Amino acid sequence: MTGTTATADRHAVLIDRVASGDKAAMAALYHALERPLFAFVQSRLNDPFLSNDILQDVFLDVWRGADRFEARSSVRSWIFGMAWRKVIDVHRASKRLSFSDSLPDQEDESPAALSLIGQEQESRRLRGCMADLKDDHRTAIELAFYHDLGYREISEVMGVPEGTVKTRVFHAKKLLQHCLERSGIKGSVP
Amino acid sequence: MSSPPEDIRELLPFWANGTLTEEERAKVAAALAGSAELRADLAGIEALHRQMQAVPLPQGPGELGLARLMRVVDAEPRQSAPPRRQGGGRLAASVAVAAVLSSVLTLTLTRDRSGEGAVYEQASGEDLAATVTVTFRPEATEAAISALLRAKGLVIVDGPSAIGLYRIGLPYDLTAPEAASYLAAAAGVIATVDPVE
Repeated sequence: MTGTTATADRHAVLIDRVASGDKAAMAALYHALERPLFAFVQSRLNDPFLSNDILQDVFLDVWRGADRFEARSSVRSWIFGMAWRKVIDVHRASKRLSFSDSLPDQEDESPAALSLIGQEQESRRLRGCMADLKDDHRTAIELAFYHDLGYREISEVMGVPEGTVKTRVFHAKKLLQHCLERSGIKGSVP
Repeated sequence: MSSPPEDIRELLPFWANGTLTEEERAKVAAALAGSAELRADLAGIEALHRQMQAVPLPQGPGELGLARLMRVVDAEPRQSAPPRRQGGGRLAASVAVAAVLSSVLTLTLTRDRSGEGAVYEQASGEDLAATVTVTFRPEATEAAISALLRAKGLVIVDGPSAIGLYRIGLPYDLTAPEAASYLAAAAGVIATVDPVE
């Protein structure tokens, strides 16, 4: 059994228990997914307080709707999908960003920005290059390379066809590699 | 030599993150074996994957967030859940029907009762004359519990608490020991009854 499969199986067991009202399982699921889910939401909203609220809403939806989870998708993609839809709602409400347009060209240097930030130079450059991607592309490659989701899972999360996911990840990684090469990070482009 | 097919190139990121199916992996492995260009492409993708993986996850709300979540969870009664629609049938239908209950629910019997016919009412300033702690069987359905309580005029006045406590109001014609005996006799619904104080 691969690590990914084992993790998915653990999540499936937990969601079954949550569906039967098991609060300890709810806490375990929270512990398993809180940080990656927060990272995902925070990187989309760039607002830790709002991200906390979204996280709370998502886990409450999990608690209230665990019995409706169908094993056709993974628990992780089901939960990330909830978060993605809430993020879209926030963006639509605030009109902060068009999901079909590219992000601002300049790098966001605020400390609260994109949670992928580290102090190291490579992380800063990586973040800068990520910020240059269209949001749909950025989301797809983050889900693939930062959260290790498969293209089927990403398709479920983002509500787009699997072929679209593969194309987005493919183009995003190409743009990232070129950007990182220009920034001087070695080994990014063969 | 012709370029590797686009569909194989598009699978490389998911080879790198280990999420391809066995069949897809075999297909990509065969293509990699025959193409130096593809292997170089994969090396770049793996380098990018490593770079992104090296960035630590940001600190989320952690235990404070969990405490906030559980306060809300504790404050709302669990609703009855319909049976799962999933094909695999990982859960027995009886478990789904009994989703209103956690595997261990504890009832505290009190003298505070108001209203007629309701099974669940909000508590306010109850005078706790006696308590009986009851554990429900996991398979007990909401309907069975409701019937059990209604038959003796028992009313849930509070709960569940963080540890699953429910407080039950008693009718004035029923003592706490009588209520405990009555509940203990319902072996299909009640798992354990603690001694009455």
